Amino acid sequence: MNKRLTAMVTIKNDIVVQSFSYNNYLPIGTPEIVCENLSRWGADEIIVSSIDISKKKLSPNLRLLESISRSKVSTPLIYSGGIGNTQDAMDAINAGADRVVIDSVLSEKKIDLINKITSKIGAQALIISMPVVEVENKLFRYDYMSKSNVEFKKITKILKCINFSEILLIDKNNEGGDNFNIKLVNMILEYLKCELLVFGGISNNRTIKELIKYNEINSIVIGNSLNYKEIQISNLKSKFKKNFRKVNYE
Amino acid sequence: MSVAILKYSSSNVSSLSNCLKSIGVKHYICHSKKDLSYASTIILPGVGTYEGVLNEIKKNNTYETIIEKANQGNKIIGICIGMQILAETGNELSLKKSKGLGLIKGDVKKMNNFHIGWNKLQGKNFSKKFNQFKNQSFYFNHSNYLKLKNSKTVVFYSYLNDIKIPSLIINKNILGFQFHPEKSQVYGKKILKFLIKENL
Repeated sequence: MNKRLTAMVTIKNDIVVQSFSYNNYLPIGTPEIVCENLSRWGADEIIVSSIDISKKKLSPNLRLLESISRSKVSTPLIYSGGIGNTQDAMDAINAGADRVVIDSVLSEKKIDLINKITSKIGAQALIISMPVVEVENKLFRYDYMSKSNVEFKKITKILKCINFSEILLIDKNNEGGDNFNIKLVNMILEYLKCELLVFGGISNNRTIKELIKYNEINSIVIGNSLNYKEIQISNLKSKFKKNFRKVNYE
Repeated sequence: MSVAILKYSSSNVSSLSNCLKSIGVKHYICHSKKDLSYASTIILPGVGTYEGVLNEIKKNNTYETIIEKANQGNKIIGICIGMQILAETGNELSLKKSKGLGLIKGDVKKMNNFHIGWNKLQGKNFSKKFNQFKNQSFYFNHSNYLKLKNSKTVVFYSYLNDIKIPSLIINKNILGFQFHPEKSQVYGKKILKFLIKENL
């Protein structure tokens, strides 16, 4: 199987933004046009991440998903933002997502709820978001809701009780930057046997070359630089042609 | 030709419907037995679990309609989980096997790994008209596969480690895609258009 080159489209107030550690934002354009471009350029998957939805505890942005789905996007869509129950997950899939990301509901109390979601949409359609930070050689999950770090050991116990397909590992501190911390991959794999999508500051070929060596990494997720550089996807695919699928242009 | 997409609660109907519009296939979306009965081609879309989808179509009485329509020679197209429910039996959520639609002879089996991403279609025993799709990549997203009793119905396989996954099945008027053609960009649209419009 080829690795996937996945584009991250970060959306705030219905506009695609360039994000810097989820603290500062610069506008890029409309979600429909950005996703159409990424699909046309040959992205293997697109993650539509509505970052303001979970923080405001709102339901998934179905209007946005429907609108992207109606545009000329024929690339698999992963939706992240506000998936809080089974109905949210099914609504997002009905509206155009192929897979959904769970972020804010990852807690011990919600294990049954997450497994209920899986029993409806299937484990292959469920991804767990995992923003992580390294503090003094220890791994923590960063909780955006409480803005605090949770020991990864505690998270491991929850993950072992739920059914999902992949973890979206986010280097929280380097998101929007250019220095993804590869050590985070090793640290998470020490705790857990899992398959990963990796994101956060992956912007140079050297880092990609290191990351694709891992069998556990299925997808390299890139945000800002893919969104506005037309030839970036084809450049990366030709540089790493043994690892990524060849693009057939329309 | 009247094409219907059967909607169930977990299905990706919007993606499929938008893809069909883009390739000029007129269709309607329905979930009732009555509306389904007008179709000459029925598409069972992807996303969901084996038991979940079967329970739902049994509950709304479309289970029998699909079998009746298939027996009358109407085209039935299953995509991903929509293909797997065409099998005789399977289980995804429980250890106990559930009865499928029985339109394809075979069982749905669990794989040890997820098959998520783009994979090539491979095969030897296909007619020339399928040549354009050989070795092209399509998008897969599943963790079970269809173990067939009659491999003659397989047009293409895909490989995941040591498992040979039937990826395109054609048995007269019954068609199954294990991959998602509606999400497989240029060649996905081509193969979907070809198989819906082609008089097989």
